[in-house]
Amino acid sequence: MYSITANSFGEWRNAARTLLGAGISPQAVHWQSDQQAGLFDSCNLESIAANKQASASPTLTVPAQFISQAKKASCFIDINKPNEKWAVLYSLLWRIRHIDKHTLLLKSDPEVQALQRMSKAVNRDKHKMKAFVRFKCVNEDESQRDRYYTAWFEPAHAIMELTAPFFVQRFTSMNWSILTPHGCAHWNQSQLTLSPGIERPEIKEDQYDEFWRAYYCNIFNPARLKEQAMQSEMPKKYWKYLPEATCIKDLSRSAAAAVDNMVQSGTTNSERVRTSSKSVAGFQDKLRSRNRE
Amino acid sequence: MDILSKLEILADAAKYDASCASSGTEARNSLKSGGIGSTDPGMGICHSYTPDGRCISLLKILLTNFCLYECAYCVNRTSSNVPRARFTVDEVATLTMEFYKRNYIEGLFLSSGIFKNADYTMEQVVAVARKLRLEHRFNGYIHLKTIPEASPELLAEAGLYADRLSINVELPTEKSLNRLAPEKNARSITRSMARLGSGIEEYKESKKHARKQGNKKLVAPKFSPSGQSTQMIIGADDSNDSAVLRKANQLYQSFKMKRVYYSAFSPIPDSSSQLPLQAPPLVREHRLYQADWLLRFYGFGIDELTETANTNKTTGMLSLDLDPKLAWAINHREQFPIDLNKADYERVLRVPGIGVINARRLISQRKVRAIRYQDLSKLRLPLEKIKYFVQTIDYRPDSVRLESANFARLFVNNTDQQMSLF
Ligand code: SF4
Repeated sequence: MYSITANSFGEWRNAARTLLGAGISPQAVHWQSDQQAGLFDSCNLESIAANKQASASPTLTVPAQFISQAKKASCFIDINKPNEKWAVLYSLLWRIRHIDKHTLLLKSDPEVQALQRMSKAVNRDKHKMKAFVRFKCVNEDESQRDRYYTAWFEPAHAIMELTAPFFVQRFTSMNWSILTPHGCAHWNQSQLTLSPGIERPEIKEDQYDEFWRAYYCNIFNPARLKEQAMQSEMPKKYWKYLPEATCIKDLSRSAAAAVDNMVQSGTTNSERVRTSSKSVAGFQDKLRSRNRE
Repeated sequence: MDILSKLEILADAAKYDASCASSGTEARNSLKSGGIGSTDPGMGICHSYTPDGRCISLLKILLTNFCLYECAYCVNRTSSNVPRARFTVDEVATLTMEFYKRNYIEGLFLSSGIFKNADYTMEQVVAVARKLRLEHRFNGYIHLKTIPEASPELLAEAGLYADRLSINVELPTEKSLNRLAPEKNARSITRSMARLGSGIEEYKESKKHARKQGNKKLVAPKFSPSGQSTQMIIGADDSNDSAVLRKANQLYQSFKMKRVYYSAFSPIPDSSSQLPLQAPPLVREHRLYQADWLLRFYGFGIDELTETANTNKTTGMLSLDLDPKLAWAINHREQFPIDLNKADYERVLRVPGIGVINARRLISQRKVRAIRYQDLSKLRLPLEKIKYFVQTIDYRPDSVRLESANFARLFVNNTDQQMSLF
């Protein structure tokens, strides 16, 4: 049994290249991360390479799809089985190299599905992060150029680095920090810096949060209440980041009454204004007669 | 009036427009171009959802809800007793930028009531977009509702800044339009749609041509890269689903619409006495969207859909209980079961419960090894539905069931019925 330590995609790839070169099968590898160091002594990769006289050509080609999915799966966090992802990835790599290079096409294979599931979960998490991060300006009195924005977000997986380019390309001429428990990203209009994760900081309301809430409340049509649909797209766990979430309960509760109100308030005859305002009537008549031509 | 109160009024006034999509435009990236904002050629992002389950992607507001027109279905019509407000161009531009910087939105969807006249209104709408693009260097998404009577020069400038332009057809027939929106004119709506359509085509073609020649200078001035869309109100007149779908199909064919939105007319405050008292069931709108989907992505012909609507008790209405694809399959059960190991992609797509993604998965999987019934459950396909319609190497459906007279009853789920307002 070889105990191998991996904490990131890069570390896993290094190890996997060596193991594959040395012909060590997935069953003979035990994966671990630094958090549980000491459980087993980690093997020295160089000694594996030396002992097994690894094959001369270290160039490896695998389907591009595998790399991109593996990068995502590497960010996957499962507290109960934190290293299963490394094992699945190595096993698939082994199968792609030694058994069938089309392994990934076996959509109902358990390992292919595990990879899919992990990369999908990470994708979804990235997507939600792009959607639900909310920047708060911390120095509204400064000029536009010097304003600084911060956001606190807790993604389910370790996706800060993977998602940072999106924020850089979008909020380019802004200074900002996105803070998460698994890593932080900072941008000063020219350079991206990454730093380790932190605990939840104190974050103040932004003056525009009130405007956003007002927008949210008024764009909602009470006649179409469908709370479940909303919650499936925007699960409650995200609500703490969203200034508008405080309105949801009231809006849902008063929806029926609001519709009743509309229905009961009755109807208006469109002639009302036409009879009271000559200019409106004149304007409308002109258009109407043109339409009849 | 302060900005907060204006925002309340002018968001409220905009909520009956169904579209909020920010998808399918060209890729932009401020790291390359400077400024603020980016767009993705694929899907836009939903930054929030309202309790009606709708995605909030854009700041959807009216420049003003003062309107000289008298469209019976609209809260903003002249005779409506709602509070009125008007934003300045600067106010809309600032709100858009500040909202965008906080990551509330993908961009702006701006429309307006008609004040003074069509050109004056359109000029103000265009001024907002111009300011965002040129002064604020905004690269996010902009959708402008276009006024059909506005001058071609204004349309061209709108196309330069907007990702998407739209003109609402409003109603499925000219007759209904004349009755319910007497100031609107079906012919000028069509004329402007055609103008947008050809502008969009020209821009696209010029891009293709420029790419072929390897000369960027050959690209025509930008014109609404995300195409045009439109909205049809459902249930305000007596047009049936067949008529609605025929109209939609014609719009897709003639003007290369990206989307036709169907909007079940909603109870509005202070509604007009010209409207029916009852709003149509929301599920009707849902069925129309499903049918529209079949038309655009599943290779269904318009005649197959109208036939499906017409065979439903000859009402011309799609069934509310069955989705249109299932209804079609039930009417054509002689074409089933479909052999998932042999049928081509188009046939596989016809199976109720198999969508585009799973159809592709099945096709790619069967190249490696034959499909068994078990694979279907591994792909999490809805077995209860598809088990009547497919065949695998180890499974054939019970033909007695498929041929039984009350086959359709198997699928009508009592708990699934549309709730209506009581
Ligand atoms: S033109 Fe008609 S639909 Fe548009 S805002 Fe005015 S009344 Fe409403």
